[in-house]
Amino acid sequence: MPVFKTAVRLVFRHPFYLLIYIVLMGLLGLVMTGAPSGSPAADQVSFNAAKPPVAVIDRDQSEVSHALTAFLSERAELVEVADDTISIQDAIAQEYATYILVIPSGYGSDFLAAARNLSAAPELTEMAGINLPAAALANAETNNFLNALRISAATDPEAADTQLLQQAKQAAAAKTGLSVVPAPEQIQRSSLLPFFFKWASYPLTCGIIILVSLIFSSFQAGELRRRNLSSPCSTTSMNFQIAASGLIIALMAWGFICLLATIPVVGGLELLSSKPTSVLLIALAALIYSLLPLAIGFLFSQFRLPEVATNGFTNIVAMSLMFLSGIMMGGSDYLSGVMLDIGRLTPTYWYSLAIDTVAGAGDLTASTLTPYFGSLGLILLFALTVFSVALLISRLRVKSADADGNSAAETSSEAA
Amino acid sequence: MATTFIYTIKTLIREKTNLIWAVAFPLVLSTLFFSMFHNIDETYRLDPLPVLVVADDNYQQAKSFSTLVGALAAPDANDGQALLAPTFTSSAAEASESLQNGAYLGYITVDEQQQPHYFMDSRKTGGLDILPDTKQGIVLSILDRYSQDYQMIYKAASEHPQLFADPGFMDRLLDGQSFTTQVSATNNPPSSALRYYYAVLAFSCFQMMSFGIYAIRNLRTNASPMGARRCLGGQSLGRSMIPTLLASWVLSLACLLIGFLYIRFGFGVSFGGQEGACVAVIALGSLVATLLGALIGALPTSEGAKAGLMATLVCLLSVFSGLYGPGSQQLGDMVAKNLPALSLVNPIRQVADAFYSLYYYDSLGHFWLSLAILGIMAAVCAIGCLLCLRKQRYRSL
Repeated sequence: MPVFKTAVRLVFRHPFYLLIYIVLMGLLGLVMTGAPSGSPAADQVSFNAAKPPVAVIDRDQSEVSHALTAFLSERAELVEVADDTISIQDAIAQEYATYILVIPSGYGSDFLAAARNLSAAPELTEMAGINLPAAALANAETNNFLNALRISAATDPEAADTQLLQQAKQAAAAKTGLSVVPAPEQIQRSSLLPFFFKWASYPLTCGIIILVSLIFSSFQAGELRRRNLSSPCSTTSMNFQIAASGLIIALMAWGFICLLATIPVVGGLELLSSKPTSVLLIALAALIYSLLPLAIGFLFSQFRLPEVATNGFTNIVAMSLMFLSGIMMGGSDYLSGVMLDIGRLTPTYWYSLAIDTVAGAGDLTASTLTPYFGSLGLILLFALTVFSVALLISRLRVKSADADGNSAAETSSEAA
Repeated sequence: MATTFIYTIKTLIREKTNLIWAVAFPLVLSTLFFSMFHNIDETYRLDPLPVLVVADDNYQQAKSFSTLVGALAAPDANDGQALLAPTFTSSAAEASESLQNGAYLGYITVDEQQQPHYFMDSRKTGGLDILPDTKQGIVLSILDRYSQDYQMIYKAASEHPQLFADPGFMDRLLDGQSFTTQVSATNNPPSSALRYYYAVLAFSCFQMMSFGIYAIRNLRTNASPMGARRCLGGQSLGRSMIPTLLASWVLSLACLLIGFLYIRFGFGVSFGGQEGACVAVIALGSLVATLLGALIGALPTSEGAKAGLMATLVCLLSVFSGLYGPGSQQLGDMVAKNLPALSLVNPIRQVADAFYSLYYYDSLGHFWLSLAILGIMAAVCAIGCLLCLRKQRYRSL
């Protein structure tokens, strides 16, 4: 297997691509898997309300402002934002805080004085980020507390400030009766393993395409190809060995991603909280998906592009597949309308769907597995289509005069 | 020098694959982003919340609650927007059945004590997206506010009945509904989509390193036949290098400006009305990229390693500029906040930050800081490239 060994050795002659696309991008997926702050679906008895990131800039430092801040901290995720323009603008623009409340100096005493005689209350300044519903929720909680404080002060004007704040706190804690209506088929959506494997389609796509493309095109380079053709190794055997090296690259990349998926177990991220069968099926989906970049890599190698251009086109293909299928945004749930129709034309959409199908299924029955294997079948068809096109181009190239093929033979016989 | 400049431009233009790739990348990716994100900000709009309300006898008797529902369903005096979009049903069973179609957040009933009860659709909760939970939170907050008012007034009426002798007291008590006023924090309205366009422009800037690498390959005596020929010309390194790099930079800038104009006017992406300053950012960004490419090109290593090094740098540094989705943006912001030195030495982040500061900040301090950092980077790369190339000796007789 000298050709195979040479091909595999070539992989390690491109350590940068291995390092950046498979190792670093895979690790990045791992880091980002810990980033999403989703919540579990409500069960029949409880609902964990969303806690928007909120910042309070307290220039008053009064009992009222402290009580309001404490109240908000129970209903929102309080974040620190410095009291300067740039920090406030950064917090809003980078969605670090979705709601910023500014309590001006003297606000507490002014508010209580106005509330005791039911005159117009002074207003607080609030700033909303991009997520308007989250800002509206935080603002509603602010108003709920101040409203309770106002009613307390108006109905008991002689009470001390501390007592009024205590009453307001108790009153603002009033809760409406709540029941959660379970859906007939509840889908579990917040598993980390599917998120990681969906993201892994990027390192798989980039890494496999570029390595396979570089290696395959190396063997097709003019003089080298001529030398190889004159060797005692048959063309079939040589092609088989080169193809096998491509498969090994795909398997190596897939194996590394699977290995990364087990690391968070040590780190406590509970990545493998899913059922073992589901985990295996998700890994199988990734393995089947790996065949697609293998085929694309083979296709790219036919064009014999410079390395920089191959790298660029690989990035375009990988990013297009990730964004169009919604994976970059978390999953195909993100897509709607025309974008959903476009997304369905990408293999990554079906890869994402296959993962969601097994990850969200309670029991793995025939009705669950049918759409899963259907999605895998479509991915295989995509890979087969790309492979067929690549074969066709390869066939035309082999016959071309440039490759000393049939056209060259015809030309030389005419010349003779 | 002018001749070298012109011929370098011609050589680079003839390298069609690199040129097409340099022009195509920002166009393709920005088109992709536009198709994905042109509606993203509308996702975060606060549309009227769709809920079912069981309008049975209890609801009819709870006048204060039905008045509240009516008020929340009417357009607000300030923004003309209603908070609730109630659909009325005659019974809880009918509401429960209607809930199954997934169009509503839940349904509200009123009990005999005139207290509301909320039945939440569990499908509209949980998951990686917190938006459904937030909307459910708003509905609950409205109902909590009603329960809170009801209980406090009921308690006050029993403890201080004399207060309610004044017929206007109740109206004055419930008059203050909002205690906040909204102001804009940023120079322009925040948008989730903008950072993708800024990141793609920054990424494209540094893809132009390939021009620098290619130009130096054609300059170095032992790197290409053209380099060997140019060596025979007897031109000094400086007279050869300056127009070569200048030509690479001019071509990079031209390719990037096509992308910038496409994003700005093709898709109407806002740069805060600071287009002139944006051109300066692109010019300086592409200068750093060209010189960094030249520095890589001058390294005594194989062409494959240079291409790999360039890909590694561009992809890795782009992660922290937010090109790869929300996770990448959070990671980049986290690094910028906790390890600012790493962001300062990341040229791709600096270019993206310069666009960002032009749009969001009302002062130009951060913009000038980014430009100054890019300027220092350009100088460091130029010196590094010169040190690598000067006094190089080649095998000779």
